[in-house]
Amino acid sequence: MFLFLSWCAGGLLVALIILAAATVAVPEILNPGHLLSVAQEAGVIDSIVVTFAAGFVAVLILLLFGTPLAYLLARGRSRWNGLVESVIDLPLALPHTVAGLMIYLLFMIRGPVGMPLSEIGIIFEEAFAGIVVAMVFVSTPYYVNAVREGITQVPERLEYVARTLGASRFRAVQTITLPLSMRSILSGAFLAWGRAIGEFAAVVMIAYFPMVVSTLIYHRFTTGGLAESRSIAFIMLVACLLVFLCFRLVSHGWGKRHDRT
Amino acid sequence: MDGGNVMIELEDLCVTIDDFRLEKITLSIAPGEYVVLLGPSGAGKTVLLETIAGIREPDHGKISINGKEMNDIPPEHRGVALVYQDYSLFPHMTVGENVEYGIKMHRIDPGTYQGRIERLLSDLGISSLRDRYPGSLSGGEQQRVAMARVLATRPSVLLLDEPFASLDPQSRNECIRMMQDLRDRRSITIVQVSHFRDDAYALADRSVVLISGRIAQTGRTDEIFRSPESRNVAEFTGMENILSGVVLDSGSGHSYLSTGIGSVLIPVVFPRGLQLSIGIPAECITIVASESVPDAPGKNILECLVRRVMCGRDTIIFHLDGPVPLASAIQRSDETAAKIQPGNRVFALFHPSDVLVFSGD
Repeated sequence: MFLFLSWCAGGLLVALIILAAATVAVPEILNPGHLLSVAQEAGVIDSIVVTFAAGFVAVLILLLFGTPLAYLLARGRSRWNGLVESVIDLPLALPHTVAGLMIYLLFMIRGPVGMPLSEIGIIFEEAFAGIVVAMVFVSTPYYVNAVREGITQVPERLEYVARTLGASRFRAVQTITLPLSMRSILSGAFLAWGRAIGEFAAVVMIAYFPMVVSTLIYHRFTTGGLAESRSIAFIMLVACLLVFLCFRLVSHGWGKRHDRT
Repeated sequence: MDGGNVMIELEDLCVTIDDFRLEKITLSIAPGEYVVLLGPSGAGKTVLLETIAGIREPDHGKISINGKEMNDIPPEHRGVALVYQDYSLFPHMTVGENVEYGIKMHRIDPGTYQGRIERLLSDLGISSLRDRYPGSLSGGEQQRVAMARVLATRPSVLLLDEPFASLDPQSRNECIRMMQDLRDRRSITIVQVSHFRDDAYALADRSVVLISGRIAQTGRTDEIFRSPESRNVAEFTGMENILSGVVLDSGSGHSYLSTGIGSVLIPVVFPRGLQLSIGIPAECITIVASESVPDAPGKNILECLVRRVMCGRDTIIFHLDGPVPLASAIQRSDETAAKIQPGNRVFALFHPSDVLVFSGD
């Protein structure tokens, strides 16, 4: 009985997602000519490329900067850990327009970070870099929290033993902790990527152009109507589905190899 | 132990971890010596090993290994290997990769170590496990892999944290034999943490009892178990009959102590009124089933009721109800004692010279 009720409850959620996807997908499948013409538009292709590329760069930045932070939070015994974790979680609770405003004020050409960087040629307003910064901001908690949880699962004693066997702290983390946290790192990276490419409000406030897909859908919705925006939404839906299916396959293989704790 | 013949030297070492504190640890261990650290749970044995290994930083005090001060030397440069109770094998690496790990970290030419690895795996009987992952190994196999992994790096000091605790009796005996072989070669100084007196009897050149973060007693294992110097050590060694009392009177070479079981004659002179703890080893208390008080001049005699009889492999333990509970351990070969049953009235006898007087508690 419990299993039956669980299936019913869970099934409702899955049905909601499928139903929402179907309202976008069915009209597009029934009108392939229109879908094809929209898919071939340079603006749409550019937008998808910009979105995926910015999401990819954001994840790279998170891998480089977020992984050490997650390690420190997982292993650290500092009394400041709680405060740092709360700061990291802030983007989860903020309305995305507030996040966008914060990013804009910080990185605009006259902003405290934007101004000095603009002097060396790095511009964020209406630029690819602005999209990346907004994506990093909103996806940081997804990545850091997932990786921190993964590292916490790896016994610290394995690092101790590695060190007594001759590994430096860095080598111990590199050869023991990170491989054993690989499933969490991958999972965090894809969660962060998914969150990043779906961001609209934070991105649009600092960089309406170049258009990411969410901006383009909003733009077409307000200028071209429902049919135009729905076609782009459907293309994005398929692209995301393919990417996440690939991720499942990759993480399953890596997880098997590394997740032996 | 003179200064030139010391492998590990700990001087006034203090380590704090949260609410726990390891205090004033001073200990010298000779090259090739096998020392067993004994003590109850939470005594700080593992913390002490981790501090020697460089994983924990002391608040103050000095750690020297082979004459070199190690306080600021990271674990990877101390020449000290550590094996935990759970062996901490790297679960994502095969047995072969685990054993090669230390050698690779020391950047030794791969060509030169293959022979060493093969020999080690063969000596420890784990050659056939080379391509298996730790998760598929038994406790005994994991223990041997952990040993192969540390021995491959040829450490000068080997630290073992309860390495036999999770093994079945057969694997445990095999591992003890392996450690005896290693000890007899005298090429590595070994410090082992253990809860079990059998480990200490089988392996230790010297035992150290650690209680509540302090060294309570150091000496030969036999000495520690036969003559604990303090009440804490006596309790840890499992001594049954530990009593507190006040000196009532003293004469030439002896004192009378007022205890819960009445007045006890002890073979040492103490000033009247002094509070003392004494211990009476259970094997030093004999029991006599008799209607009248037995004639045993010079001995302490107490009338008791047998509450429970527990038969061990070599001895029978009689738990006696008197003014305070006592235990007597009698050899099974003693046929008279073997007839005594629960509920019998008996007299417990012990000689004053068998009473251990604890100081400093």
